[in-house]
Amino acid sequence: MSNGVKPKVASLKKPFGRDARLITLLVLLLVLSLFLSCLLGATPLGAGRVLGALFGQGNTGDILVVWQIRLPRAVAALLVGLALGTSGAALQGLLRNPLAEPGVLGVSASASLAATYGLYYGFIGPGSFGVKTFSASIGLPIAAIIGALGATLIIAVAAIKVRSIVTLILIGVGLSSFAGAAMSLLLNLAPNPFSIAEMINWTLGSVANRSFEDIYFSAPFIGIGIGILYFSRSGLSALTLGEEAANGVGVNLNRLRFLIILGAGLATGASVALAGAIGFVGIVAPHLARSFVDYDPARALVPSALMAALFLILADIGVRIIPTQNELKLGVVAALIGAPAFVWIAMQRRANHD
Amino acid sequence: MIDSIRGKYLVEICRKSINDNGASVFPTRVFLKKMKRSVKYCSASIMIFANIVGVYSCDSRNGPLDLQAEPVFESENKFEAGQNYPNRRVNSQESSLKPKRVISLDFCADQYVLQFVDRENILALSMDAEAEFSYLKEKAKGIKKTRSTAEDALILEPDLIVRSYGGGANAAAFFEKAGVRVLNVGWAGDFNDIKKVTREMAKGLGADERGEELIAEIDSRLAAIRQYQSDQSLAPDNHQVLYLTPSGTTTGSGSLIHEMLREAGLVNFQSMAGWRSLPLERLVYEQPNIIAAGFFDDSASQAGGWSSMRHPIARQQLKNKPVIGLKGSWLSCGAWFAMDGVEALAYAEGASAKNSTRNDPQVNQGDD
Repeated sequence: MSNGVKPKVASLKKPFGRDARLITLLVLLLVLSLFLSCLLGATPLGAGRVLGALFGQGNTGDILVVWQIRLPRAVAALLVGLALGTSGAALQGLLRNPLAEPGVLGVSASASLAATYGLYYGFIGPGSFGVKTFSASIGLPIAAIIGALGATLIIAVAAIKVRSIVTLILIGVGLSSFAGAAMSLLLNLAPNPFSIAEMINWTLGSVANRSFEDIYFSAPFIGIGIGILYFSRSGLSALTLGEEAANGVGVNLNRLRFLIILGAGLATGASVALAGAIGFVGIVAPHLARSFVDYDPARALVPSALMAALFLILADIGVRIIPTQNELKLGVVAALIGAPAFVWIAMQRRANHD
Repeated sequence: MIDSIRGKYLVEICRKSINDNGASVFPTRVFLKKMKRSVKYCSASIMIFANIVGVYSCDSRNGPLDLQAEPVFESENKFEAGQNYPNRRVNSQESSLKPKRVISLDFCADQYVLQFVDRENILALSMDAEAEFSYLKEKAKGIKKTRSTAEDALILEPDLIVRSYGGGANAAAFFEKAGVRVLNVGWAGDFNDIKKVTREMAKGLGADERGEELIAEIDSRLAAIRQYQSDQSLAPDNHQVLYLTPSGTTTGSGSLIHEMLREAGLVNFQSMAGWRSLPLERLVYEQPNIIAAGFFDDSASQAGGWSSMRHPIARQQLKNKPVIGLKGSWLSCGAWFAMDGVEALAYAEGASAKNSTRNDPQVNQGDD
């Protein structure tokens, strides 16, 4: 292990103890933050009314506000946080690089590109309100997930073909840059000035106005992605000993790379479909989590997921209470906090390794 | 490409600067020779470019554009020199000239040019002049379109460039430096602004009379609406209108849409200033009487995956409300054609009020 800490593979068999206490604390904080998220909004509702509405009591308006507006938003932030936190921790373990994150592999950018492409050609959406329709559109999330899966496929094939982790990261960086450039091209050639704002949304990230319909669509992909990552975690612990040693204890490296990248791709793609590209959470949360779990990437998965979810729910509360004329975007706030943290992590790493 | 040429040039210099012993010497002579040649080529290029844009022919007496040598404005125009173009040096003759070679660089400018300039005097319009959100798109057919870059514009040798945002932030200063007059379209936040901008644009385009006619038409249409409102005598609580775009955007005070609703005798449901997302929580407790749907006729403006319009609350609370369609071309620029939108709002609202069927889908009025 790069930090000189002996990995504790055996600790996977001890679910209770320090990890359990940390996880319990984080879950409690998450529940509290979810409730806080339900408390805040355009309509002033007291804690009693919110609690009542959560249990189906009180007036219909309160129930609608809490169950159809505030709770879906908070749950969307929770799911996106879980997806990005788990993916970040898993990728950092696989690539053995604390600066790796889902965005590094180009999955987020490719998902955004596909969504923007859909908007550009106008094949997504309910058509004209002038012809009296409010039909729900799931085309955009589908496009985002297809984009993410496409990128995941490329990276997964590369993961099998390429032996070098550095080359794999570079392929991801190249894919990400290409998707970014293609998206800029679409913005550049936007059919009219009004559609640019909608396209830009996919690069900023937000959970505002999300409904359970959006969540039902993305949640299965996020769930499957997180599941794949969680069940592949033991290989990550072995990998901290080095590739040869991991091979020696029976870890199939190609299979591990494929599974981690597939899991991260699915979870990240679905989270982009739900909330756009939100950067840095996938770096910062695993970094914080690692110090609580003796730098074991496998044990870091769950705390990292919970920390990222907590971070995003709190950031979304911040987005709502900061008094600006136009509501801030969650991705922007996350990046404003995450980018300095990223630099700090990089500086720490340099101090440790140079 | 440039890097490659530069690279070859440096290699050439270095090759020549290596003496027979393989030692490098400072390539002063070669360098100076190359520099002289470069200066010569650059000068020639500048002269060619200057000829193209007409700058080369100007003299210090007449400022950057030699209007006396080659008049580009008609003398009967009452154009007031320099009023809209403080940075430009003008002579006395220019004030009485009318532009004959006009280019517009964006679709807002296109509308004024198409409205006030004779077709034969329009050199080119912007690439968006025939887009579906362009009000005078039919009129724009058959007229050359150009990109809004300096080179594309100057190569046509215009005597007037009309723009609002086309060409970028430095465009006005750049074109004026090149000796071409620039007419900037002013911003309009209400109908007084629209009339002011219309007057300025008509004057700048040498069509004062047409401008005044258009302003008089605006006034008379607004007066007709006010008369209609007083005949209808609708209760204020029946006037709550929610403006909505496909992306779920609404607007409060401080926007032209808000002023359009006001002129139509309606109350904006959005009580918060500026451009905002659909107020979902408020919709739970109270709803507007009518929806003013803007830009839904524009195929490029779609209710994307993130539009609050897709939210179940929006669908549930707004689905049976009467809809007044507002074309994107009425709203895309703050100009005289916003009146079409005001009329659509004022008269459609009256019609639904008379029928007293605000929740009847039959009252829905699609834009097309």
